[in-house]
Amino acid sequence: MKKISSICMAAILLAGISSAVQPARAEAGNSGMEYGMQLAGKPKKELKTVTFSVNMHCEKCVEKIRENISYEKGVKGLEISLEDKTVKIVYDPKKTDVRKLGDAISGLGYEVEVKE
Amino acid sequence: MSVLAQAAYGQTFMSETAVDTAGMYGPRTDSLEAAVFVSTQEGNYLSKGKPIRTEVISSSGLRKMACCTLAESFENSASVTVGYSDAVTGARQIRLLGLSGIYTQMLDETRPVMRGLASPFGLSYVPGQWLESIQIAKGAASVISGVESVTGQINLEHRKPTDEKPLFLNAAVMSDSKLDFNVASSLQMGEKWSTVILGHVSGNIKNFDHNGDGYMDDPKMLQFNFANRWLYYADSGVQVRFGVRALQDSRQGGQEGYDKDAYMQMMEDKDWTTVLPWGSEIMNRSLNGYLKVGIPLEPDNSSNIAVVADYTWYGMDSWFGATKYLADQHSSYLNVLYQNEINSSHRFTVGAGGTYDLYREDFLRRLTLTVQGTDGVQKTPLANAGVFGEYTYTLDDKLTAVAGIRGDWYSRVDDGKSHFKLSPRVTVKYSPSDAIVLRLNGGRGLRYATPLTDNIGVFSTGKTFYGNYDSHTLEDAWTFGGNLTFYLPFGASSDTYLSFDYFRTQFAQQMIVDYEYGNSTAAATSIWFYNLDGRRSFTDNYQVDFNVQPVERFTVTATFRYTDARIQTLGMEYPVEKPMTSRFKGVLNLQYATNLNKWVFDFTASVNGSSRVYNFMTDDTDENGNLLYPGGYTPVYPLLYCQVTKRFKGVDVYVGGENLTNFRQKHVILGSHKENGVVSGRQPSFDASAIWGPVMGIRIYAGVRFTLWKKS
Repeated sequence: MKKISSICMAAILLAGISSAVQPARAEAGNSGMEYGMQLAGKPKKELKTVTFSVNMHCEKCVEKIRENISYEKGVKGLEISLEDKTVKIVYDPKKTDVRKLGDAISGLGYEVEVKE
Repeated sequence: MSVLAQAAYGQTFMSETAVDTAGMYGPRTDSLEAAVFVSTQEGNYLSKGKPIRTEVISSSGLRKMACCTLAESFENSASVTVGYSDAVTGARQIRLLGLSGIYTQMLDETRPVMRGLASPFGLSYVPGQWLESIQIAKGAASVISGVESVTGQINLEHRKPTDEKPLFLNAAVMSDSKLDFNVASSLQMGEKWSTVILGHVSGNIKNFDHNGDGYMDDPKMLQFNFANRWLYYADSGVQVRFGVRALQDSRQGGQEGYDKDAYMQMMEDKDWTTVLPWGSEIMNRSLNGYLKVGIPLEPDNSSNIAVVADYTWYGMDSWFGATKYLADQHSSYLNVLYQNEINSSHRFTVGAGGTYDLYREDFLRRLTLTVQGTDGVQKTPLANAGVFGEYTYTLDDKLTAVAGIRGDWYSRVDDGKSHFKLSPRVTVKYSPSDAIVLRLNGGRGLRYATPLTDNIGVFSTGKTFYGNYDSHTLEDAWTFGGNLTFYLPFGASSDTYLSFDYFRTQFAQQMIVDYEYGNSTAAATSIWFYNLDGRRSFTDNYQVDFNVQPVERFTVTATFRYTDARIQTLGMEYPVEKPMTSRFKGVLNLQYATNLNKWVFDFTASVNGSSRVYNFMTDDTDENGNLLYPGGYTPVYPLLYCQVTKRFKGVDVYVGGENLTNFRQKHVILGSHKENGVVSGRQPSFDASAIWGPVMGIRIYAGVRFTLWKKS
């Protein structure tokens, strides 16, 4: 019984470590020394933010956008407001851009316009 | 789809629950205040808007645990406790407000379900993955769906035809070899028609006897379940919903190698020299069809007419040792309502409806000393029909008062004649500020008892039944209570709350199943069924709930419930504590999700309070001669659950464990005499229904969910 609880805790820790390590791993091809150093601090990334106006009309739309856009390449943060009908995305400009993100949302069946 | 239609009628539609069924009965005044949606969604939460105290288990709450069936979906709930009826059949029973699930009305989008013969296994017939959300309303709920609810109503929202998910697949495996497969497909064909197809297959391949008592821990099971629901939207605004469902579920439990015909023959011949394995074999089948029509009378849907019609056939063929109970039930339900929203303050609904049930029961019980039952089909028609009205008064956001009354004619009451009964129900919700909500609620509930299936554990005993076990008493109870919720201004979300509940249920008439009547020998070998008839039976329930998000994406929920259930059984001067009812339960749930929900971690710990054991169990000892139940109470025990989910685009993979401390009730099968080292099923003191704790030990599971979203 204690064993299983420890396994769960280990899984939780592992996941935590892996999400911390990923940015370092993304810089592939470095020497082992640099890789080790990068584990200590994440490399600085320039993240950008864009807010779209989206014609969502119910909670299901929010769920659909959240479940799909969260996994788009380069998306780092997502905030959806049904009341304001906006979708705010924090993204990595090296992996994606405003057009690709806008297309991803309109591909789900919504009318999209860049707000800011 | 349906929301666009509503929007076209100039309504702002904000509902916590799915749109479709809510639209049928007019606009809801519960607004979610259009919360800003951050990455995570609340799993289990207290609804802020609804007048009656309602706990909502959302789709993310349904994904927290294995949730293979509806029963498992309640493991995390504060208000609902789940247990086993016996150690043999796998029948799950819930308790709400300290009372058996038979006193809770189960609704499938406002249609009553899981009634009569379906109540022992009904919770296993709704796959958790078919559901979108569950709402648990405590207290005397709306009269619109009938007054069979005594302690509350649980409404199940299935996946909708209008969901933009053309394909959903789920496969899960448990360490006890149970496999589950689910498929759901929501398809929209043009502007008017949409459908959802739901399929489920589950079963186990191997059986285990971890506690070595000779009886399988879990029965062999195989279930096929299929449903198809349609929605049609006419240009005129008329909405038509209809659906069908087919189910087959077979179970074999007890000792391995049970042969019902051989066992029955052995008992008929009174062949006491042969030793055959005792077991149980159950075949459940069901067919259901329903139709719901909503006709708006005004362009803005402020007044409308709705008609709900439902027909269910349920067949349960069961054998337990040398007891056979072959029964089927035809059940039809009709409800017609007229709803009018006069203005934003006044709204009323009036209607008429009824239920007709035809039970056919063939019951025969061969025991060592007696034979019981009629060994022939007994037909029992039971009907109720009535009119009802419900009026809702709303004053801004501060006050909502709902008063309902229902007058029903019941075809057969105790004296064999029909009677007219009036059931009033009142709910008041007062919210002086955004931070405080006070709810008061009270009303009457009436239901026909089906003594044997309401208490299916009685079949897994060798005891003689006495009393009116073949009659259908009209049970009558009043429930009163209230809830006070404080919304607190800290935490990462706007939904930090501390809530207090108190409810009392008092019975005017009840079908009592008494395991303890008589002296100790008589009590251990008999079960008495009788009506309350003026004696006292009541339950007091207290509950505290606390919910907070200390930091973003980390939710902590803690609840504590205390139950005092008392019943004045035959021969007692004062009400005694109800046996096998746990006095308290505490649940702590922690959930943490990483950014964008890519990893989700769930941990639940519950502590389950003592129950008073039956009087014939107080002297039971273990192998070393120590008393199992010192003081006549079961031990307090913990249950731990944990689950890790990794989410990708369209795919979720999850791994988890249940009952991580491996706590099990020892000595699950009672009986003084053993044959071949195993407790004999044909002795009068045989009892496999005295279950107060987990029968299964630790279980690990893994599963995958795949969702395909509709793209334009």
